[in-house]
Amino acid sequence: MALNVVFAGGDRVGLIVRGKSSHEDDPSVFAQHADCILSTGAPVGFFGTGNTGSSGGGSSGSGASSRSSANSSNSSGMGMTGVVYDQAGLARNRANYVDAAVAKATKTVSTVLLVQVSAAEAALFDGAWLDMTKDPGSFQLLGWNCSTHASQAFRKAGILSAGIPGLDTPNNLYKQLCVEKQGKVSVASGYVGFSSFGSGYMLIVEPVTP
Amino acid sequence: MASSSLELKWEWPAGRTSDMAALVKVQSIKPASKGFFGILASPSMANALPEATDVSFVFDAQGAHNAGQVATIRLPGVEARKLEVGAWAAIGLLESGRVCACVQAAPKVSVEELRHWIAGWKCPADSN
Repeated sequence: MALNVVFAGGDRVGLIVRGKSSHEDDPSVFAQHADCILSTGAPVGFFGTGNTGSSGGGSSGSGASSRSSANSSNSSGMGMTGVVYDQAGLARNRANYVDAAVAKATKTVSTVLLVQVSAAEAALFDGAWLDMTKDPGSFQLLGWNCSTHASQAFRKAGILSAGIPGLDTPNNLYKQLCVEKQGKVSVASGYVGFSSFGSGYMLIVEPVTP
Repeated sequence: MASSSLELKWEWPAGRTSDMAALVKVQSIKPASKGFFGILASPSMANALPEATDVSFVFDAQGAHNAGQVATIRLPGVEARKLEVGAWAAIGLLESGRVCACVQAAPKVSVEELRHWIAGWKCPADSN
């Protein structure tokens, strides 16, 4: 049965570890990605863009913010330009991250960690992502990546007290939150989607069935 | 016929309606390079797609858009699997033809019939 979570009270935020199939799963470094859930339930994430030899460039139209230029040839994941995708940007560029049906069709499994926070922490967390959206800065796959930026939001909000222990990976951030926020977290794994609900969003997590 | 290859970008429709439809003939379908240590396939790369697959095709020589133009696009695997090398397909384009938001295999009929078919074709998502 699918889990539906309505974000209405501004009392929780979330971390989504893409590629992590369960609380216990420890995916390989290049198979994971971190997104966050704002206190409104809106998904948001930090990505690297540049000329990687693949089709197209960054996102078109609205829904994404990236500091321009610096798109030099890149195949190492270093020295890239950062880009923040909000709900609209994710829907265009990563529908498998925000539409549970597309997630199921593409076998995109995620683990969501919801964290109970105060109203002040929630506001600071949302504000930190707004700041990153305005000026995403650079991206490096090792050390200045999606999890580094998610960690910054949790720290600026006062939800976490320190940086990610060990390598900056989404799963290490997940483990840190589980330890530091013990008793204030809940977990769900499966195909993740979001739908508009009131002034915010509803999170949908559909279980993976064989 | 144009000589250089046109590079299109895949995006999911996300509620948008395609601006134009085009009839194309698929020339090749192959898994996209994952780069050094699989870095290019990392989901933290903005351009990464699930099971990224490179597809090349040529626009119908008598079509209204990019007639005879060779083009390439990187598709999610689930979309690329709808296509077949040597077969005709319909694509839905957005943003002045720069972005492709849907693909569909064409019926197995004559090209003359397909040219009539494409005139009334819409992305399946647009038909809902």
